[in-house]
Amino acid sequence: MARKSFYFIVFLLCCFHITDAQGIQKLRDLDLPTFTSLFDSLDTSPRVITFWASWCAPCMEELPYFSELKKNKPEIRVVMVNLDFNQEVHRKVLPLLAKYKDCEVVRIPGLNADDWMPIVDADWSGAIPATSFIQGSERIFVDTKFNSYSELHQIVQSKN
Amino acid sequence: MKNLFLLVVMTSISTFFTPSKDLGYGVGDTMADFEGKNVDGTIIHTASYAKAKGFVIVFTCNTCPYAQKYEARINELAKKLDDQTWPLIAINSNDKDMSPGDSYEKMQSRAKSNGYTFPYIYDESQSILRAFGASKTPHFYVLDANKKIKYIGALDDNAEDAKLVSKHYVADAVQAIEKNQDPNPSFTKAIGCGIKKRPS
Repeated sequence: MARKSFYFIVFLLCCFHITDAQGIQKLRDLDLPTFTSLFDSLDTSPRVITFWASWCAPCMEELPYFSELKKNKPEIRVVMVNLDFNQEVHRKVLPLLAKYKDCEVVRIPGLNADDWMPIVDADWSGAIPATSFIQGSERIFVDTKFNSYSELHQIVQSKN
Repeated sequence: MKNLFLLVVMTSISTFFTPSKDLGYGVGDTMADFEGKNVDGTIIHTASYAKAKGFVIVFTCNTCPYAQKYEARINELAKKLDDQTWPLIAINSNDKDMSPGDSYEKMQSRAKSNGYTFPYIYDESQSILRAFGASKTPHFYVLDANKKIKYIGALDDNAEDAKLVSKHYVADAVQAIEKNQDPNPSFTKAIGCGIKKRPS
């Protein structure tokens, strides 16, 4: 019986990819305070926060650019906020985690759009893809698609 | 590293991206009448609804999974509303070259298979889109009899599951206007698919 339970738990772990063989990140759910802290102007570290869903074709086209950005500029915190429907996370989002293991893939289920969307940008209509670039009080918000890696790279171009 | 975001950024943004803050209607603005070709081949004129107590206008499309979640709900709402006193008009503004699934012919077949009882018009010139400044699908507007915009936003507060909806924003806005009141809230936010707009 104990052994059965053990296998069942292993099965569950595999199903949900809580952590895979290489110990990659789990898909983290953020509460409102944690989400809000991503946009904290007192935080002087560079952050790139992009909003995406597997059903959003332009998002899926540009998502690899963010992964490439993280590889080229590891000092930047790259957060991918997934907006897929809850029922589709297992089938459509979890299989992508390995591909984006260098970035933080998070979700915000249960958060009210009227609470979290104004934190991102007061004028954001909700169209995705959308991306926030934040460092201290410097903020840039782009709600159009990046057509190439270089378009994204230019925005975070460092002097050094 | 301290200057991660250079001024260059601002120039690159203006070079690479067309301005995303489209001017358009806000709550309190009055809608200019428009016309558009319905899936049944007729031309729908907003000016011709003489008995309208208000309008529900929704920018939607065939292809957006978020909009698809609302297809049945839009259909239900249209059935509850009288098509002369509370017309519900759906508009697809997606460019058919950028989104082939949103062509007029594809709209016709979707309207047929879903049994739409309301006008589903094709904004091929994107002039309606520009007037409204809508940016995503689905995007709802509720207007009063004077075509004053009283509500902009989502249909309700749960896109994923109609059974879990706790706030019916559009239906509540219709009721408020019926009672000569201002909808509360008059504006809500929601995720959606960007409307495939041709560079102007």
